[in-house]
Amino acid sequence: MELFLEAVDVWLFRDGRPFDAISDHRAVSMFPPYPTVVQGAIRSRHLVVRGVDLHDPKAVERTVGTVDNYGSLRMRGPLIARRESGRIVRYFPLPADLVLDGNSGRYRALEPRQIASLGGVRVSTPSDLSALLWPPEDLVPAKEQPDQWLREDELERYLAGQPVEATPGDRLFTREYRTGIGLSDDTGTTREGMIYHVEFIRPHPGVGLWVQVEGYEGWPREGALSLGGERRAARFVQLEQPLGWPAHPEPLPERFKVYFASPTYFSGGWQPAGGSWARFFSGNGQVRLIAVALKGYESVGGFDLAGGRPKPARRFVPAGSVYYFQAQGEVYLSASLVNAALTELWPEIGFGQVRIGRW
Amino acid sequence: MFIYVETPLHPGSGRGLGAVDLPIQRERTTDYPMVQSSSIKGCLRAEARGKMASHVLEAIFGPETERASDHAGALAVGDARVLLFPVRSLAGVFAWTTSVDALARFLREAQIAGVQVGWSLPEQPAPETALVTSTALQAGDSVVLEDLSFTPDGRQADGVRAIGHWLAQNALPQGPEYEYWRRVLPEKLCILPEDVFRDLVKYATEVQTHIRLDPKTKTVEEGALWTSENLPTDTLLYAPLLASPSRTPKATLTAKDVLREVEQLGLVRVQLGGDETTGQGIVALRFMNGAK
Repeated sequence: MELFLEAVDVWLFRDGRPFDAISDHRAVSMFPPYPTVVQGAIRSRHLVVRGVDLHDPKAVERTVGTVDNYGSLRMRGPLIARRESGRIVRYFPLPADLVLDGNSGRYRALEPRQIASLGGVRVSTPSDLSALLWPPEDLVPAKEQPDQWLREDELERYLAGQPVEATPGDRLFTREYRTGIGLSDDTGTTREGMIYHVEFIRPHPGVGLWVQVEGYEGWPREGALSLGGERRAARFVQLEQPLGWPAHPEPLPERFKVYFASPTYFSGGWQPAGGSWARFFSGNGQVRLIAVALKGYESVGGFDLAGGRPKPARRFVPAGSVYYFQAQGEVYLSASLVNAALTELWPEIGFGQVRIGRW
Repeated sequence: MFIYVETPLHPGSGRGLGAVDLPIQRERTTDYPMVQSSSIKGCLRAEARGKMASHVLEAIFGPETERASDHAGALAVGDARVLLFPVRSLAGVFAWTTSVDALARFLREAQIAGVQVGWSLPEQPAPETALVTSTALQAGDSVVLEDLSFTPDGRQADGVRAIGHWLAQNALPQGPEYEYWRRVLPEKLCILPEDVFRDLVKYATEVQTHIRLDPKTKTVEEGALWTSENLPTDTLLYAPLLASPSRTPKATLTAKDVLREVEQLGLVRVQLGGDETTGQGIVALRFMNGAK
């Protein structure tokens, strides 16, 4: 099933930064949230749908699994989505290899160029990356605005190598800042160190989150669940016309790039340990990574409610990153990948979701 | 949960940069007044202390801040939003104003909570017209609110009266002291065009000017002049309360149990927002059960 989640008022999705009394009084929101946030809300709601006794740990585990085992859950998303003319349209993070062309006002993709053919250029990239990403010859650089998103049809154009137009984030959602204080019940006055400042996300009317959930049956067509910080309410409705997730080309093109629609984890930081992609690609050919476009890491942590302690924070490759590959011979995305996800961690809940383009 | 403002309510948002020193909280996109859910939950928790066993209190509202990571509370409170806003009227003393947009938002949240309302949204009033049920608000040929004049439109009077009647029976406080108000609400209900309603909730709030006297000289202290914004008396707000089964082994409560416990606190009037000791923010509460 596919769900469209809409906020009742505002949402709070914390990033990984601390938020304690005295030391820090400002909490910042991120949008869309990590898949870890949404899987928690989905699994909690599934326990209610199934009428499971929350105090019976074995029943809970049987229904939704454990912290490290997601059972039958297979999730994609969350992605920002909007109702447009009666249908749901998804919005994707701006790919990291797009630059704004001052002439046309559109975004164009960088082009890989062999380092060996660039005379006089010295680089600090690892020696096995043979190309740099270079702006096209006729591109006039322009100052970019932050917080841009690609509609799904624009993403298709991007994957086909065409210039695209982006949607500013403030047309999809706005950030709402609220100040709060803590009162002492005994004295009725404010408590020392308890002033705080929280940034909430207020989606515009018709804007919400798209989530695909497989493995959980019996959900009502619509209802409510708690999502994110302060247990804010969200309305959900099952989509009557599911959007699905496109199949990847088989075999993969000789020159293909992988766009990450959600964050992903590699044990080697931004690539698998040792640089081996054998786990993710199969076939009788060979795959070589030649260039990467990404913008720093994101810390993904969270809280282990069962164990009563924070989860370790890990550095994830952010959504929007683009990896340029070159294939020799027949190469496929490995059929053994869970959820067709390119990630070493938590593929079941939506990390590592990719779209394949060509360059 | 419905919140009826009996003395002016000041849900402060901190210092403001505009004409008012201490403005009230507003939604970012609509500028409608609101009360943040953290204020409402804190108020309910304070009222529940002493009326609930401590393990039930913690199961519903969550642990103290020092142990906030033990478990989540079972009650989720949404922001309070405006449903009826009183505006000075040339005839009939004041009108309870609302808009199709505000009613539509209420319908949306009522549907989430499983509340069945017996009315439907009226058509949008034309610019400079107001949907009314009778001549109670008419002065001559017009409805005059603050300094704005509207042509009354009675063609949808039956629909508007149905809304007023439902609100009178289900949203206003239940005490006998509200008998008069339940009777007159359908007559005083006025549905305005969207932009006019938004302007009224922005500019027709109650702005109080305050000074502080030097106790020795009995004159105004230097710099001690400030203005404070309040939601006026007779404003009607609503806030969704959503519950889940309790998450602590010390208390076993289903979602319905949680809501029943909150309702059985028997809260009739509570104090909300700032300036408690000068009598601001006395509100009457009424709970309505949904089907889910």
